[in-house]
Amino acid sequence: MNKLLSLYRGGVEAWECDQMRHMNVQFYMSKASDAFAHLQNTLGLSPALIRSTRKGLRFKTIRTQYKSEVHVGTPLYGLGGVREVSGDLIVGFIHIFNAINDGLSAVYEFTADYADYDTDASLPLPDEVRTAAEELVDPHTESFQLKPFAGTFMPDRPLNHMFDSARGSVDVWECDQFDHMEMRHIVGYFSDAATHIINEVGLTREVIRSRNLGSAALDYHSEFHAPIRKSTAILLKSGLIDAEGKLFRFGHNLFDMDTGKLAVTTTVIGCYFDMATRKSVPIPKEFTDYPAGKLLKEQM
Amino acid sequence: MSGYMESYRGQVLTRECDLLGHMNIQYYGSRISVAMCNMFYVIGLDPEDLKNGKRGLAVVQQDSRYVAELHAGDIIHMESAVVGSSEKTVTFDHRLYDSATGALVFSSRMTSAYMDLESRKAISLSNAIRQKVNDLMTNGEDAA
Repeated sequence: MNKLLSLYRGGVEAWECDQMRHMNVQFYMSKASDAFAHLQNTLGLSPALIRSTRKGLRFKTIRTQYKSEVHVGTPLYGLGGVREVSGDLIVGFIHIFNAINDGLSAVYEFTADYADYDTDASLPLPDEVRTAAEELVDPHTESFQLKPFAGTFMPDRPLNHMFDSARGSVDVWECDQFDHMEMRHIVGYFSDAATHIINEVGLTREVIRSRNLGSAALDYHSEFHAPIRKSTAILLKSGLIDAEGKLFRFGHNLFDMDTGKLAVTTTVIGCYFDMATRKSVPIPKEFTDYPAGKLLKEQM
Repeated sequence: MSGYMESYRGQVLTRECDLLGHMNIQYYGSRISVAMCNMFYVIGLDPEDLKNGKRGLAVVQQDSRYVAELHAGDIIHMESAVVGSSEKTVTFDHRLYDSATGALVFSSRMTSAYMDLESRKAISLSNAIRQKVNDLMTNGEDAA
């Protein structure tokens, strides 16, 4: 039995590339979501069954690592599998590869639970899903293994010195068939926040362009506390955790403003790179000059 | 199916469905677009030429059959093959399947012209592409 599953195949469209001239993080997420749907089917949760029961798997945590950028026209494929069944959680992975050189472009390591999509209640794994998942369990030692995340995760509570970095309401076309905001659009908010963070440390897009700099996310850790539903007013608050050498770390709290509850917590490690050489460079001094007292690490 | 290879694997999004409750026809085309990203590479079209706007393939004829409807959340995959060529064109056959049931939901035979993207004119296939196309050629009718 092949336990390494073919879960995605596609490519990079022109409109999926951002001002850094590479595929934006939200479109990595959309491809990983496609892969997740195929994994659910492999576990016995077919689209028809999910539609009829209105229950299925959902991400509880995702660790995403971006290994190499991909550009317009690049063919991609995705492989994945189940590493472990831990209680009622499925621990799995999705790897997105550049098909030209078989290079690993992005890594998703996740935990997922079985949930009622209407009530949001976490449910025990159905026996048949557990059995299917256990048959697929494999450490996949031949595949890329992530090292532990560097540093502490953002706590799931508000912190001082976090600033508004994105605000909006969830549009119908951003939602899935159960009126939940698609994962792609959640990540899109984190992407939008990057420019606000640049402004917060005293930089502008013009300064960044004049220095021929681009920024890239390297590592994300997200925890999903509650789904975000259609028409919900949402607010993303962000803060700089620390910045040193070539890396900066910041944290996001995405709030459901209808309930006041924290829906998603994300910790991000990023870098700056030279737009011509595509190599990382030391972070701009505006980051290291940011007042130490405002760094979130003081509260973590 | 001999000669066919997986060129796309994904799912149907809710926003791709229309007032009839099924995936709108424009999104069948979007799957072909993504599948062609893979087929460009398979037939040897240099990604750098594509990226730098030098050479590309543009559709000049397309015949499609919509076999079954698709709904939000359905998982799908496409298999594609090279089924013909001429001095300046390559013909592909694309078949989209419901991955949960294995049922064929859509097929499309598509002829594309090899283009110089600066002059915007069709040009002869390069020898390298012609060789790959000949190696990959399959009879789409037999494989149906």
